[in-house]
Amino acid sequence: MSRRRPEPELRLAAAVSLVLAAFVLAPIAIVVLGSVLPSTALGLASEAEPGWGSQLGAFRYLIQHYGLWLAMSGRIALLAVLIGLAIAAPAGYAFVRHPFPGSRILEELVLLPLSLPGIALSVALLAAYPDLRGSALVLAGHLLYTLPFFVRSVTSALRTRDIAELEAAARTLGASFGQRLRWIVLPTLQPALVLGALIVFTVSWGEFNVSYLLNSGPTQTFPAALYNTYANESFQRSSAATVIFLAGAAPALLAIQWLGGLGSGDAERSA
Amino acid sequence: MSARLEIDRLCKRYGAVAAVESLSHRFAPGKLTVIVGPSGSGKTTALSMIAGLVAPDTGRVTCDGEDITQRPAERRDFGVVFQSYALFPHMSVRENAEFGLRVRGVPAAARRQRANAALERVRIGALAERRIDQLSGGEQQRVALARALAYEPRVLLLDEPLSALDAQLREQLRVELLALLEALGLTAVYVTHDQVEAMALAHELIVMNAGRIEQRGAPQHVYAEPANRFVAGFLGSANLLDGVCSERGGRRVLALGFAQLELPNGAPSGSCCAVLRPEDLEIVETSSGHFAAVVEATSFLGDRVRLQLEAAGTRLLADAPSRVLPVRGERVGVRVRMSRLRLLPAEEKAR
Repeated sequence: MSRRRPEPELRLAAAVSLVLAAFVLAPIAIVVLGSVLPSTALGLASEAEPGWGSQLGAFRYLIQHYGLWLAMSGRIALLAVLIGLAIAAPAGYAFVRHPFPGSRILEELVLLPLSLPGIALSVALLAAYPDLRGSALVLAGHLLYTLPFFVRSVTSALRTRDIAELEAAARTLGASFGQRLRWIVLPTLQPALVLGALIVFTVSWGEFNVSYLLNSGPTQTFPAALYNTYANESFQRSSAATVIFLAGAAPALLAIQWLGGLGSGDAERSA
Repeated sequence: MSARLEIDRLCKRYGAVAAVESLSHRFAPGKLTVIVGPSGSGKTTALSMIAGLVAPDTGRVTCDGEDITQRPAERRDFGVVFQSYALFPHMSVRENAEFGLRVRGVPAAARRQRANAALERVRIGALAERRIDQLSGGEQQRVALARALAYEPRVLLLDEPLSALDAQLREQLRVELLALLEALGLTAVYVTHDQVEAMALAHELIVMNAGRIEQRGAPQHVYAEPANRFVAGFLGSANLLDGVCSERGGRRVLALGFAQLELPNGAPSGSCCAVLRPEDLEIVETSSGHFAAVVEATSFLGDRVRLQLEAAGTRLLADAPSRVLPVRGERVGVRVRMSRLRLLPAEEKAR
């Protein structure tokens, strides 16, 4: 069988995709190169150039000065995921299995924080919880941003599988509430919880507005370090900071891509 | 021993609507009882109350003399097959079949063996390792049945288990199901809206309408002697004809407008409703029938032809053997099989 030449429309589409990909990837490539090369190599003038001998010096400098900020970002992102799981899974289950008058409206209201600008949300948080300080306040902000999404993915997973009916079947088969949770509800939720956790981690890791506005302490989250380096330091150092930031987000992003691929494969098989 | 299942004056209301009103029945032990009725007749609510998934407002459910009304579904030891099958999508076929044994703490080896036996019983032993979304509708139905049977339930409850399948498969599974239940000697309750399925399966038939039992009994009996217009019209096809019974010259006569039929003595006088099945009307020569009619339409059904007739302004359905093919507009004679004629009191008309 001879291979057919692709249709002209397809070749055009491929070309457009390539140009778009290059457009999106070029800044990332420049940043990655910038973190190890002297900025003159990329044609960018810079003050306080550390010179050719210290390509990895920028990374060392960042870990020394912003290591605590990096740890704080990691801690807050992990806590946002754990607390989110602990709240969203039971709340989503309750919304689906034990709806009460107005629960559908409440479910919609939970989404409201997503539509607020960071500044409004921050002011609202400060007013609502005047006793919270520092990283606890930042964590509260991140939860406010990520919980709605988390609850949503739980409710939609439970509704798609008609969990009420699966549980009714499990009951007639003799399963107690605990057995139903363990063998029916949690396995049904697992893909949504894993995907939700990854997305919440990514969002929290990259959140800048609320974190920057709410944090009064000396140690900030890492996106604030990005801001600092771009504002005050060499291009090489800020590029290195960006590379560190991307390295933190990349595993979660790749996992999301991979799980998304699995999900669509499932859909194709069952269709 | 087959379980003795009994319900006593079960009631369930949803707001102002009575879904089930004072339902009582002793289910024949070891036999299949079919509850049949149109949608909204309360049959599924009745089954859910027996299963323990819906709590009755009043009334009792007993099994082997024990009151189980307050016992939750998970402690009744009943098997339920759902209309949508409700199979667990994250488990294999065998894991589904094992579920009832797993929650009862049966050790893995015994569990596997009993689940396999249940799958063999419904002829899908070969599919044990498959995922649920790799099965056809008929195969899923079999898994649902195996899952409900694997732990040897006291009673089997089936809620429209075949309604999602195509006609041919439905008929095949019906035959298999009946053979399986007879072999197991399980007390079983089967809910359906399909009157053909109901009559084919039932040892005893319960016809429900608007939350109440209209009639119960062997399917042959309920079909031949419907208690009222609803049952006559719901089970199979029937001509429901208003008439008047009276005495004329020492004979009982039923006047139907288009015909006068002589009745055996003892029939009560006054207005009544005559029930005549299409197969009880025979097409004959114009001169030799009880009355004459004109063929308005014919539908060929393979084994027979269903005719729509018109006799003095009244429309009637009649079945003829398919070798006789009357044409539209033809005038024919109709003979009534008088032994099959059933008279209902006229008050029933108000229903």
